[in-house]
Amino acid sequence: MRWRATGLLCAATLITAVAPAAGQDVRGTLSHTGFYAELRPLAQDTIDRSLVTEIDPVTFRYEGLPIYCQARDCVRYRAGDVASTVSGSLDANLTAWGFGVTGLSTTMSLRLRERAGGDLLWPRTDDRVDLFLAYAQYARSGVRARLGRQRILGGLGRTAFDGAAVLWTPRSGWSAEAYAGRSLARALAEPRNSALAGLESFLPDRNAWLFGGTVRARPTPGIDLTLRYQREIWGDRSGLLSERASLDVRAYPLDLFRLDASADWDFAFARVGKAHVTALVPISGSTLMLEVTGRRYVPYFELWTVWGFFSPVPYHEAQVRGTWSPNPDLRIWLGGGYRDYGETATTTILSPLEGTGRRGLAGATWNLSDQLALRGEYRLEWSAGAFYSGGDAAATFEITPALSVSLNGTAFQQIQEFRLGEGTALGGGVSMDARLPWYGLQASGGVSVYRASTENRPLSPDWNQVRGYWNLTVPIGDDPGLEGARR
Amino acid sequence: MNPRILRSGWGVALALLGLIFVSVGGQRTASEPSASPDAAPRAAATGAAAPLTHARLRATRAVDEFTHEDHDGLFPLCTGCHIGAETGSLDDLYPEPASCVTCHDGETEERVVWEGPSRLETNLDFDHGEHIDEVVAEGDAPLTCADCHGDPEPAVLAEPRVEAAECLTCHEKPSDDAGHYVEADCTLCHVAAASSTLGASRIAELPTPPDHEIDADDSFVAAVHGEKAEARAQERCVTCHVQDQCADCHVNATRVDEILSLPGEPGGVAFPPLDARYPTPSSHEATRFAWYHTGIAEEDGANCATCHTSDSCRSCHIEPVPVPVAALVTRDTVTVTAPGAELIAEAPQSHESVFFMERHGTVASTEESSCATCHEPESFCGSCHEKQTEGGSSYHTPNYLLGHAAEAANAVTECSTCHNPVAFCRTCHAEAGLQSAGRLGPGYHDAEPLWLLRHPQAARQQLETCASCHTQRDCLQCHSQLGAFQISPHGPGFDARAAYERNPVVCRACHLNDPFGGGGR
Repeated sequence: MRWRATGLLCAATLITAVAPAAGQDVRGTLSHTGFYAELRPLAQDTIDRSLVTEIDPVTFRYEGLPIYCQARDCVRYRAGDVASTVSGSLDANLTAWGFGVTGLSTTMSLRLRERAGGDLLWPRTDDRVDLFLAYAQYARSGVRARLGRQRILGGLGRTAFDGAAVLWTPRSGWSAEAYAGRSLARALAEPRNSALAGLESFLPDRNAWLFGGTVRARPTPGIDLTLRYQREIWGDRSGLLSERASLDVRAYPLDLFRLDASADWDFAFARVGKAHVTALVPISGSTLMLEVTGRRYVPYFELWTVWGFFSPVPYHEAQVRGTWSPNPDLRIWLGGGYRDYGETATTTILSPLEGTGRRGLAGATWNLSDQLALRGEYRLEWSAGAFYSGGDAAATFEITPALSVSLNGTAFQQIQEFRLGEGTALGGGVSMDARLPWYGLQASGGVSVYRASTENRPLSPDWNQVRGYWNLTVPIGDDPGLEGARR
Repeated sequence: MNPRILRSGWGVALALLGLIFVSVGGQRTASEPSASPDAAPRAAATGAAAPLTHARLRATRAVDEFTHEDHDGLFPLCTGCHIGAETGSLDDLYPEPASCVTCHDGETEERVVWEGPSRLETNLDFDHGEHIDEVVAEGDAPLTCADCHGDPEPAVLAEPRVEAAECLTCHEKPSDDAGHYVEADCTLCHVAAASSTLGASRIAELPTPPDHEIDADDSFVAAVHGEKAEARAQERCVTCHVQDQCADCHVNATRVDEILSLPGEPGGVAFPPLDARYPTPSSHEATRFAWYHTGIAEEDGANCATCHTSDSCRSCHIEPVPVPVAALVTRDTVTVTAPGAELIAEAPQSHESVFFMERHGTVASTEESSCATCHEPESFCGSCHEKQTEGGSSYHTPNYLLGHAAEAANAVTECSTCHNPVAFCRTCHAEAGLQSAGRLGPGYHDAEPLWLLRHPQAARQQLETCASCHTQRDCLQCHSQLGAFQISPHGPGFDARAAYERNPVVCRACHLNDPFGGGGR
């Protein structure tokens, strides 16, 4: 039944696209994306316990490296053979209107996937069809109503649902929205009980319902506020899935700097979730922009999992970053951050892990000419169990206004989660973007090769990772004036 | 060939061409409809007010010139010759040429050929007789010729043609030229240029009032002329301008009452086109103008409509455009002849930060409609939030797959905004061999031989990272009543009763029995 309804809506939209009648029109894109990727999956070796060296009752070594032993067998991870995947997807994003009712339109965002080859299963490529959006909209005189599959983006992230939403905008900067319907899984376009089937031990085995509301206000021309509340419950009303609220604020205090702030409150765990306050202070005009951020992060888990009951702790971070633009063609940025994790109240064996983390970055873009632009950035991430230090650089040549080619390179070192060895990668690639002279077609593609090495770790030989992608996008209907004007 | 000779030859040729051009140009000038005979039919054809018929100035085509000095003492009264000035009859304003014969009969005086004054181009609206009557009607002493034209001593007009300043000594203050052009009510003495007998060349030579002069800020165009036109279009603007000239700049000329109230360009007379200038209003210079211009447009869209067509707004705004944009005229409207102020779409100031992507959620949340100005929200947001493949992603760097572990573990951004932790992260990690099998050990985390004993702190700090490889069942091997060690995963301050009240089903995943004996709700 669901697919039948979906099919009807898709057919209606596509028919409108093919043969628009007077007063009808359709706008959107058809886009094909394909990619090739290689991975080197880990493989487990089982070693007979008689071959390993027992250091103490819980510590074993094999060939000089730690190995986990249980009963008679011991297990270790080594690099397996290179595996690859070739996958493709076709996206249709279409909005059609002109159904005889002024203000009535339909929107559809459909993705068809195909796994074209390789022995690696890329996530979601086994799900052939995703209908991200399929709704009818009526917008008139400050009121917008939507019915169907839709999403809402805001302070609580991205919420997708099948249902209805009504937005009322009495005046600029002021609006109220209410929505309700069947809840869909996070970042997916399916209900949890079907999207996650077979993937999780404790399945959400039933539908969930969602309802919420958003109020936006502009009390003065310099302040924007958005308050959002959202609650999800099981379809049989046996329990709560989530109940959160968020507040987002943008303001220009005293017209001196801009303030972006947001925070969410998790009613389920009675605590503040993620939050940040950022002050953007222009110095000497806008040549130098200083950003000072205070940030709190704590992972959010829905109540159908046990994770939230494991009491994850937040971290609080201070960041200072600056962007210097001495002229329109040159931009240099530099920044750093320091984070401090909350008290975990856990028993520590030997020495405790790091409870802090740092990050830093520096980069620049430089438009050497109208045809050549350079970009480079160095990033550092450093905390317990995770380290990354590396940089990227790219040069983009605009051969013609319709064709550009980029060369990019990268080099980085990383240490993965409490795992032996320091991995390094060195590589680069080439990509291109072209606007073809037929029907507004846009094509892009690229290929890159990275030499991945792992030091201080045996059975992890160096290897070359090859990746590539291609994309062809066909605009449908008129692009509303953006082409050629945006810069 | 000698270069000098060559240059000389070119010089001669150019000189000849110049002479030809000048002579041809002169002929064209002479044939222009510069005089009154064309004016009447022209005005009639356009429906404009009838051209003046009573305005005559000094003769310009007299074969023999008449001078008052030469006739000193012969005519004691001005009205002896200019009776029309008293009667108001324009035809009698000058004597008939035949009357010269009274003296210039060839005997008493030599014969002369005097044709009288020709009618000149003018936009004056003046009648001697009416003027005299009005002065009397207002209770003032009757005017004499000398009051305006100066004392005829001896019977010679000091001011044969009265300058405007003389009029203003009575009619307006101040009486200087600036006051005349800036403050006077033009209709007191003038008719609209479109209704006058002025030809194109005279119209082009009309003096520019001092307040029209272009200053550094072009303030007259930017701020002054609109208010003045609203208040006094019929008193002042109409004296020199027609609505067609307003349309040289105003893209919405056909919708502005003040402009429509001006006469149209009469046929056969080309009013000089005005240079379209669009000085940037001071309001637009504000750093946040792009941010709050919506409110201005909604409250006073008429102001925007002067310079902007909806096409210029559409360089940023996508469909469906806001009501104020839709209300503007469009470029394809044939009535729009002005170029309009061109707009080039630029990213707003918020986007200029290198770090905008990290916090764009706050902007999108507070200003959803603002984002939708330029971005088609469904496809644009979905191009990242629902991409979930590497192909062409503009959010992550090309090498992100190889090096994403640290950023994900440190939660630089919230991965689950776009990637489902189970269906995307864990599925991919499983393909990469990063999934547990059977009882847990330090197999993967082999840098920590005592990982099982040391993992709690890491788990509480980076639980999302754990969950990107481990299933819930992995952890419940120890952290449940069914597990080997029955270790409570709950941290200090955990409100078990509240959790139970919110979702008792999850509690039963670990607790064999109802932890509150059925009394939790």
